[in-house]
Amino acid sequence: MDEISVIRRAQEGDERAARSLFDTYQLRTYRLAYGLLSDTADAEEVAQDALTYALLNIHRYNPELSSFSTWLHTITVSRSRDKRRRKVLPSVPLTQWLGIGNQLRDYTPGPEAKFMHREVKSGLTAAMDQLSPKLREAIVLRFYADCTYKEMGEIMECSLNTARSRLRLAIEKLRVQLGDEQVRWLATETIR
Amino acid sequence: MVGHGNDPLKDFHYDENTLEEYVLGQLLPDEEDTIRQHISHCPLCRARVTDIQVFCRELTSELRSTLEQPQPGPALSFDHIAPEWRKPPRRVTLLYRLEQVMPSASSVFFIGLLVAAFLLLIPSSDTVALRSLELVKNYQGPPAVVAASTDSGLIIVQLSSGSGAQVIDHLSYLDNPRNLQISPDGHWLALQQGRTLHIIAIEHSSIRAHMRIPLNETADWAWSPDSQTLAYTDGAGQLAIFDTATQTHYVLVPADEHAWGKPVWSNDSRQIAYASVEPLPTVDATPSRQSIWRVNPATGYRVELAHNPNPGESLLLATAWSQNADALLVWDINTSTGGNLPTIYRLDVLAHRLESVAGQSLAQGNQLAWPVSSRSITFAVNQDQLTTLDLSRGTQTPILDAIPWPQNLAWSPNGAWAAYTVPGAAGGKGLYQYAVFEGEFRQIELPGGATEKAVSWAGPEHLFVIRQPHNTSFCELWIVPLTTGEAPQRILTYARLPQTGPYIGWRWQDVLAMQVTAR
Repeated sequence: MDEISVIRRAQEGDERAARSLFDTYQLRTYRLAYGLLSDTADAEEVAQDALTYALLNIHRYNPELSSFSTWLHTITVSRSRDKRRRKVLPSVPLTQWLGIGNQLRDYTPGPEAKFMHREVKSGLTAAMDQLSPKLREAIVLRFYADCTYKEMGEIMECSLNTARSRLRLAIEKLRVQLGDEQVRWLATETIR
Repeated sequence: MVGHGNDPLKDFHYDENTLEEYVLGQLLPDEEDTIRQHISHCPLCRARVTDIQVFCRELTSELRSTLEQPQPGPALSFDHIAPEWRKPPRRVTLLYRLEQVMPSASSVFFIGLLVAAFLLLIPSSDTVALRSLELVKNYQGPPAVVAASTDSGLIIVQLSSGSGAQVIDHLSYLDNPRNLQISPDGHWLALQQGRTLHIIAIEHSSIRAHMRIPLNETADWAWSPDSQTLAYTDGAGQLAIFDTATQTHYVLVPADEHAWGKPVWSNDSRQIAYASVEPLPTVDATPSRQSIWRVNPATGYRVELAHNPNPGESLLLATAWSQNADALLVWDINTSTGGNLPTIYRLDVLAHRLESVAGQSLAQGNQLAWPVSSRSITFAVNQDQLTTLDLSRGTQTPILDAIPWPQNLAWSPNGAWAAYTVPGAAGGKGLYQYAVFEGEFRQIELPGGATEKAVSWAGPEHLFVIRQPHNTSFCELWIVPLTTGEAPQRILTYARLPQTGPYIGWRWQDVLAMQVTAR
């Protein structure tokens, strides 16, 4: 059964259809929330919250206006923003706490590609944590959720051009943050 | 686009932003083609594009790898939503339901057609209500106005000889009216619903005005014989006047004088008799002071006519004036409760003297079933003997004729004839006419199947008769010609039966009001 049919049945009150939608989207929603919040517990809470809201209000979803995933992403981004705002003491990412991000430019490549790869990931995570929430949203939506500018604008509740500007600025900041690593990526790419 | 040297168009390079857009796939197809061609022969731009592509690819890969490492715990589960999901109402939009039942435009058109046909062909609830009344089609009788309480509200009907009953209005919101009284000229209707007195001006074919006056449940009222004024006690001690000419109302007797019960107009419309009860019967206390008063509605001048000597035991109410306003018929409403025949009195208005009458009358609800005629005559029972009582003279005369005893009685306009119903008679055989001075009586036979319950005169030659068909809980209104020899006609059916209540009782005027008019 295609997704439109499943959504229609859920809109009719079919619990199996609702459960099927939940199963389909729970990981994606959780990961999107994790990408935005960098905290597994917060991500889990936001994902449950977003899916609950989406399914209990599924009669409000209009397939002619957007895809279900865009609608769900909009809810998830909105809930993540709420979560971030509600946190009295913002969590400090572990990498930043340990000062790993500060060492990015001092990074020296090791002999093993696997080891090097893991270290680059740490660098990316640290660089992401340096971004403002909106720039981070742009990066996650574009490079993880694979959204177009139009969808990003809908989800982030801004114009297409604003979404484009945010993404460009986020990429620029990341490239500056990552600095030399980019050169090594290039090298890795060349080697492959 | 950046060029340099003498041939900028030949040796140019794209800026970083455009190349990023190219890599991200956000350019128009034409632009993409142009850039693709350019980078195929420009090593610098190609290197930049590769640079960006690698960055983006790595970013995507790294991001996915990072985000896909942690797994959600068991807290993320549909089971938390399920109980809420199963609660009604179902989360389905009306539009969605409509889309499900009307899948195509042709179906929508077809259903619309059906709805239109339904609305056109199926009569409205108003029409159904009026049809169920089975109004008379060829009325033979004097012109009249009838107000009837039905299950679908109050219906006001105009009757004209030779034509059918014409519905003046159907007031569905007046679903529980009581004490319907039409003014003697047929232009006004007063009734109560809840704590509101409705005064409705009736025109030939429509309602002209509708006034609402707040009052208490135990309010009562009466139209003046000249139809100019409605006098009402508001149940809270006030006696007030509604003037039809100005359509205004004002207080005639203030609340601290404890006016109560039905105001009684003299025949010349110049005096109103009323009871004063302190405290009011609506208060749970024994009256300590009670008296009968009269008031001139033009001046407000009022005078106490008589005291009740036993205010704790009896409650005396005036019920009718004698023809020349020299006496009042007064009765004790307390003795009528429990099925007893109430004690009656004659009040000499000039001498301010309350005289006990040797005999009793018959009550129906909060009024006497045997009214006073235009010749000041009423009926009484004295030692199991039916008598006529001359209110002006204070004399009683036994009725020696072997007439069946009346239950509900009405006097002809000239006071020469009494029409009455008798209790326990077979259907169609319960209506009598009695010539009180000649001592002649006759039975007026009606078609069987219904019991005669109440009667009133419709001019000098016709009777309105309320009948209850056997084994039913509704009543019918009939017109009965007395002199033309024509057959009685049923005017309407399915009017409600009256309800009983404290100080209200079984009153036909709660469900039907009839008034012959000049038009």
